Amino acid sequence: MTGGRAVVADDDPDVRLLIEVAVRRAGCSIVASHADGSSALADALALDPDVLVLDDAMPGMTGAEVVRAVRAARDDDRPFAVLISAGVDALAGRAQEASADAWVAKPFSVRELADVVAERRRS
Amino acid sequence: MRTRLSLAFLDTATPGVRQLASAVALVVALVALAVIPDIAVEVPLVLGASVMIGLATLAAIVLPWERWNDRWTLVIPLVSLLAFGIFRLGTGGATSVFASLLLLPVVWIGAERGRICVAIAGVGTAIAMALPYLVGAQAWVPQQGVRVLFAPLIFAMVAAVVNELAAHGRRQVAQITELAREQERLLEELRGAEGFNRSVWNAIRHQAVIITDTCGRIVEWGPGAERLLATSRHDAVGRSAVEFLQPAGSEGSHGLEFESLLTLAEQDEIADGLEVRTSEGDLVPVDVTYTARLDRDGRALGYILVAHDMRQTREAARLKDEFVGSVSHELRTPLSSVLGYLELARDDEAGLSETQSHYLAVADRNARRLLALVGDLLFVAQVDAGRFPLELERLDVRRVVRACAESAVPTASAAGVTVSVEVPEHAVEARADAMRLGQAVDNLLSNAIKFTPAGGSVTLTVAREGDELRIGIADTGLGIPSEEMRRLFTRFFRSSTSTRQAVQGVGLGLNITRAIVDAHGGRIDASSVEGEGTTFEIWLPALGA
Repeated sequence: MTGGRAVVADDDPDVRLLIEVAVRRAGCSIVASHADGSSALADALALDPDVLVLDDAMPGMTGAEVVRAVRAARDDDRPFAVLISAGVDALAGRAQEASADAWVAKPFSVRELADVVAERRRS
Repeated sequence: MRTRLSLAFLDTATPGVRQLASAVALVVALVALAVIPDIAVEVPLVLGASVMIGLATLAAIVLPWERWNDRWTLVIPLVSLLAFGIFRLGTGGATSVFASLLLLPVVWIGAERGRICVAIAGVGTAIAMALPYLVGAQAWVPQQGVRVLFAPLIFAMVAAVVNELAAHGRRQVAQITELAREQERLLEELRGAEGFNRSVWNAIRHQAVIITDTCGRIVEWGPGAERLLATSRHDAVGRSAVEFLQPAGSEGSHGLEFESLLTLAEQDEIADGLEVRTSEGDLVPVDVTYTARLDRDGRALGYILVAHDMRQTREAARLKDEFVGSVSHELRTPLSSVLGYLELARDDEAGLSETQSHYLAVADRNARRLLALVGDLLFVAQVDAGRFPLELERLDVRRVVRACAESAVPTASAAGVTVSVEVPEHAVEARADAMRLGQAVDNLLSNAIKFTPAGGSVTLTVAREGDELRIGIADTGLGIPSEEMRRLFTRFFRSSTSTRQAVQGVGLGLNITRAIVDAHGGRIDASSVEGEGTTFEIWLPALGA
């Protein structure tokens, strides 16, 4: 069995590619990759991925809003959601609010992000 | 209103007015002559005297006396005196009932300035009285000598009394005029001060100045208050100041007593967190300062409240926050790419030459330096904005210090500096944010290593002293010149040692360190001996053992 199916999104294409590398290293396949929150939400609902890795600050819809909308639409705790944030106090107390499973600060190490996503399978 | 005081008989009345008395008296005398049958009249003399009085009166009225010396006006009473002398001659001479007419010009002459006028009046009267004998109309008898001397003497005395009264009157008028002038000047000054105060008052348009009595009732309402609160002075005076002020967020409930407003302002000098409601119903955030209003004896008359519209300040703070947030994002995102791709490139070690690996390591190190700098700048901006989140927990400070020392070991050994830790066996605890406190110790430790030459040492100590705990970072480095110690914690300050030794940095580390220590309710001390070393000490409130 593969490591799971992932939907990723970041408005910066260079960073998005890094996320994709990390997600693949964690053993997941990328089923959709987007530059904005709304498209990511559409695929997160339509494709039923196992993993969601999103930049928090995106035009249209923030990563946190996407996660909240996905959680509201489902009654289980799928998919495993990772939010990436460059905000100053991003890591202090916003995780609960958005119900994300993990927060990663920008700039992130590809290795660390891969570890966070891979960790999902063990938890 | 100009006060002008004058004595009609003295200086300001025109010669025409003064001569009026003689002219009227002559007319009355002529009427008496016509009515009373038994008076002996020599018509040519009476007629001549009447013509003289008439001409003198005419001259008094029409001639431009004001252009000539004052003394020339004396011609009129002197001519009148002579005319009345002739009139007396024409109506019986020494037995005339009209001798008293002489008194009128005598009074005029006596009222003029100077004692000489008394003499003029006496001599003039004597000549007028002696006329019958001078012209030979009556025979001179020695007894008449008494009349010619005595009567003028009495007239001269009357003139003297009038002269004295007039002089006295003039002095009084002068004094009163001087007083009036002084009053006028004071009034002018007062008007000037009033105008000045009024213009200052009207110039305060961006602060609402509200003046109250001791109970908070409004007694004056500035133009700034009219503008900010859109309430006219007329509608505001007499109401209570707290009607216009309310604590922020206390929508509807009117929770502010005047006393608590004063207490609020007394504690911080500025009462913030208040709002005013404009007549349009908008709530505007304000800071309020107050000053007691005292009379000359220091008794309280009331208060002066100055409410400052904080909308612009708040907006500026919000924009700054927004800017910090956006800079944070915009700088970190490209750094994410730089560091991320460097990581990917370095992961592929097999494909890289040693030189290439070295180049990538240098790029990585510098990207991380840039990242740290961005972090420091954002941190400083957060401190400025007063938003400086601390996650306080019960913390064993030894643990933080040991962790800092361990992570500094690679840098220290590369620089040939020994790092040692001396901590007590039992826990030393404080309520602190582990990450921030670690950042503070890291800053001091990395400075110590940077400024210590190879072969030197840095010692970290933790100790409890009374209610406080002390974290010491002592090095055997270059030291800091004493004249620079005072500015050490100033933002962007770089010591002469750091510039001379080309040590990298922008001068934020110590400033941030102190902000962190301050936020923990602690303090930081520094002591240094140039050439021997520097010791920094962080003091924090300790938790009970």
